[in-house]
Amino acid sequence: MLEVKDLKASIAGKEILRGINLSIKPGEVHAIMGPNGSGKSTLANVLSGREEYEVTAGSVSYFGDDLLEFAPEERAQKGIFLAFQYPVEIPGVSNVYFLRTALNEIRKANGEEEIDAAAFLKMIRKKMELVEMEKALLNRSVNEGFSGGEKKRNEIFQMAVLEPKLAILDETDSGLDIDALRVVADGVNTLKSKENATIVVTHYQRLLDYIIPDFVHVLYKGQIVKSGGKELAFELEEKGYDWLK
Amino acid sequence: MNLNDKNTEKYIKAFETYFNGSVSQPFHKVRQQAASNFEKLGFPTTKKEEWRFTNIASIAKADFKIAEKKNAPTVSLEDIEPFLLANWQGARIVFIDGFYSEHLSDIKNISDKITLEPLSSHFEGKAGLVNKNLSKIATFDDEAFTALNTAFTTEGCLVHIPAKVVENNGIHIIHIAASGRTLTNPRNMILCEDNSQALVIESYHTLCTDDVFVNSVTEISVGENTRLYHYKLQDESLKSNHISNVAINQKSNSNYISASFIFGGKLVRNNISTKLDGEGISSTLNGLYISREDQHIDNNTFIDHAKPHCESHELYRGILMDKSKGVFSGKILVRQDAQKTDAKQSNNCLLLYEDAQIDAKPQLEIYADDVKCTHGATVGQLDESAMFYFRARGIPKEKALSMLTYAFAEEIITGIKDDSLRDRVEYLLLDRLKSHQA
Ligand SMILES: Nc1ncnc2c1ncn2[C@@H]1O[C@H](COP(=O)(O)OP(=O)(O)OP(=O)(O)O)[C@@H](O)[C@H]1O
Ligand SMILES: [Mg+2]
Repeated sequence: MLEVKDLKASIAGKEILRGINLSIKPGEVHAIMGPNGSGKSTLANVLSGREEYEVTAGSVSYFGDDLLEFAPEERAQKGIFLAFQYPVEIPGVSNVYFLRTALNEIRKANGEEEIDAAAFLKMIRKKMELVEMEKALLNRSVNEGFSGGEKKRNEIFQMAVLEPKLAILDETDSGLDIDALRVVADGVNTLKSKENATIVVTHYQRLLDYIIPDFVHVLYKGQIVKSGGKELAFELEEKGYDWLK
Repeated sequence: MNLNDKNTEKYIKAFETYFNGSVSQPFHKVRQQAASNFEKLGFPTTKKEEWRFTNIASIAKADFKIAEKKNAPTVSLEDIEPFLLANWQGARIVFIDGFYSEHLSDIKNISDKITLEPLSSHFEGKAGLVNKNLSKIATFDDEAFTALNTAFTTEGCLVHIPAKVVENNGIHIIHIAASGRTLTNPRNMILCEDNSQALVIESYHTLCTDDVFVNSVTEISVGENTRLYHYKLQDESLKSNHISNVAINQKSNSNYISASFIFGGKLVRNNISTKLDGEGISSTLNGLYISREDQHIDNNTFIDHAKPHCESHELYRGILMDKSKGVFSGKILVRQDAQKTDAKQSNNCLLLYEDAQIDAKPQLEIYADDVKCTHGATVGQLDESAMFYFRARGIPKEKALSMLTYAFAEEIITGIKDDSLRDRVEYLLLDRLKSHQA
């Protein structure tokens, strides 16, 4: 579903991604690991269409289309979901209204009917249970005053509601206690299907105890320097990144 | 002699040439006094504390001629169609360049006990409502612009709600500046006697493409046990300089509920001041503005708590785009007598992208010891990362912007008592956002 070929991207004139190659098929879970500043979030943002990043070379095809041609909202409407490393606070816009608008924009773009308020509430109740999110958070402004863990949980909740084809989780595990980690992982696993794929960006092997990856890639200075199965994550945990340099 | 002085002199000369005369009437005496006060005061400069953030030199220096009835262009109903409120049930009175237009007005659906007429019908004889009240609330001792307005007040609008009259249909006063490079001085007097109730909307518009200078004054008295809803909608062109002074006097147990909406104007200064001159009074001064390009919007509020057991509420929200600038000064004075005062003020701004700027100055002067006064100010920003968050969830830019802005303005919009006005304000807000993106 996703073919990344020799992708190069820069920000403020500085090259961050220096030739990424990555191939993802439906049903797969890919873990991306790598030291701070290696370009993991940059890759996630470039795939989601963040405009500050300039793609200087390479291509990304998504179900056969040129992904780089699409605006961020179009990518979301086509099933790409980025769980932010740092979820943004949106004062004054309630979580529930935000999410219903998002869902309806996605449905509209796909020629589906908008969901009415009652049906929506019924649907999200189930999803909230799934991620054990407190009901009170629904009517609060998006992420405003949420604790670090609540913000991450809210990202997974949004993912559960929007049901993306390709989910990119950017360090969703950092800042989570062990229970929250399990909840988030359960969420991801429940939503997993033969049709959709997940990219998990993480520093810690512990998340991969819960979300079993099919592939592990090591990103180093803007390039994937090593790929392997889940055992690669253990190796990294043990040896760090130095041996790859 | 600087340019300010020269122009001050010019206006005084004009006063003498065109409008002096019939000095015998009390009304004209006030005008003459106003003219000499204006001459003495001159246009304010930024050295004056109340004008520190707003430089009106461009107005003082510009060569505006004074509006005259004989020069006011002919305006048709079709021309003013865009300024009328949809589904409006009440009466409307229209002024062009400050002069009453009978054929554009439609005074209907309100109690016949109510007076809704040009002020000039009341200059002589009769109950002397105008002579008795003129410049008693909007004083001009230290207010150059109010002095200027008063000196040149020839017509203007009188709204008189007699005691015990409760009118649920509204009154819409429409002021249109139609002559370019002209100074117009709209004047309104709203007198609500004891135990009455009314809803009055003032709206300001432009029907010419040149620069104009609109200098309006509204005097309001709210009697005992009286409730007045008062809205000011300013939707002028970006070439309009709009200076306004709304001055209110409230008697015991009265309730004054107001909101000011600013969608246009190049340099805008709104003064609003209310004197809580009795016990058990409630006063609400709200404001909402959205500015773009290089607009300068200055809201200056003053609440004078003179007696005990009164409450005041102030909520200002500004949405600033492009290089526009906002100023908010909110003064609350609680006099020694005014125990058990409850005063709340809050001023919030949303800066959309670019280089917008806000100066805010709360000013609490409290001389009583048993009072509750709170004030708060916030400045929020819609930055690239918030916008990307919306878009990454499938919500397009335009929708995101309107959701955010609407959420920000909602509290003030939903508080509008009249449906027609609420719809218009909502429309104008979203329209300004849209045209900004286009
Ligand atoms: N707006 C920016 N301006 C300049 N440099 C930037 C900008 N954004 C990111 N960078 C740089 O790009 C590099 C890669 O950043 P990125 O956020 O992709 O790293 P990461 O692998 O996600 O790191 P972490 O593990 O800390 O989250 C870093 O050196 C960072 O400083
Ligand atoms: Mg990162």
